[in-house]
Amino acid sequence: MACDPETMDLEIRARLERKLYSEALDLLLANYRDKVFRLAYSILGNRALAEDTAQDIFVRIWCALPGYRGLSSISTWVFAITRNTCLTAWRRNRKACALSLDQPDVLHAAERPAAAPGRLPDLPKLIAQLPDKYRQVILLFYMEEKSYGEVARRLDLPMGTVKTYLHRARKVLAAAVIEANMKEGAR
Amino acid sequence: MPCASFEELLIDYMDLPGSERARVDTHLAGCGDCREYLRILRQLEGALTAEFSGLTVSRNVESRVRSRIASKPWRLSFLPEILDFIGWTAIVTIVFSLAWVLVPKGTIASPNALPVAGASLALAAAAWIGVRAYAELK
Repeated sequence: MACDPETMDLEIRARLERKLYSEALDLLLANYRDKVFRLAYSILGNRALAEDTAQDIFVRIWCALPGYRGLSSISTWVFAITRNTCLTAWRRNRKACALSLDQPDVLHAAERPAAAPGRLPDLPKLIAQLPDKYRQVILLFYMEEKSYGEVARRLDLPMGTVKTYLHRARKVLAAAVIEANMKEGAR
Repeated sequence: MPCASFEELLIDYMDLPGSERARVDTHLAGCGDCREYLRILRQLEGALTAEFSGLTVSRNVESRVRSRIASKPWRLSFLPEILDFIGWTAIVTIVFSLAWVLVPKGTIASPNALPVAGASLALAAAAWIGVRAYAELK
């Protein structure tokens, strides 16, 4: 079903007004499944946890559908539920989140060649070392086709803040690469 | 390490306006450290794009959500209606209590008229909210 997001939100609203909750959920899943997952991944920094949390989010959305009063747009409402559920999941899984992007890569670590001078070291490991706010912005920026506006909307941040965090994240990552290359060169 | 005065510009190289970019390009032509820094930034850009661009959730998330919903009976919450009720009742009560205190005695027929009217209005608000809540749940 190819449809722009605004039209889709109107479709969902129309279903909710007629109390067709099951149909509304179908549309929400079809249109927000990946968006919700990406936001969850950027906040939690762990793919497996983000997938589990995405399920929790849609169950929460389902339970909240009758209470949706149309005061905010569907996307604002969905992303607010996503952020709140992720914060709960983050507190519950603090340890797993602290390991952050390491986890999925532990599986692939053996397959990765050691970083040679001039090559990038393990990228997810570098990202995992970023402060939370920088990590969230940089992950979401690349997952969402480099749209500052989308990142700002998802994380409920001003556009200027998104640009600042992205700039700082790149700076920290570049410094980490230089440091890793220097260490590698010294061996 | 890049030159301090160009580091910030190099990080935003792709977004630089034409004139500023030309200035950076001139500097890059004669500075190996800054060229190396820009190469690392571009490498990062490419790696981040390759690793995360268009990432999608596993397809089975949808079916798992549906099975969880099917096994979870819908329990509607009355909490918003109850909070609405408490809020409106409080507002009406406060308005009439203030009026009772502020309106000079003797300007109304009976000193007890305002609290009685307030209580009646509070009950009316409660009834209205109750009817609305019932209609929402239907």
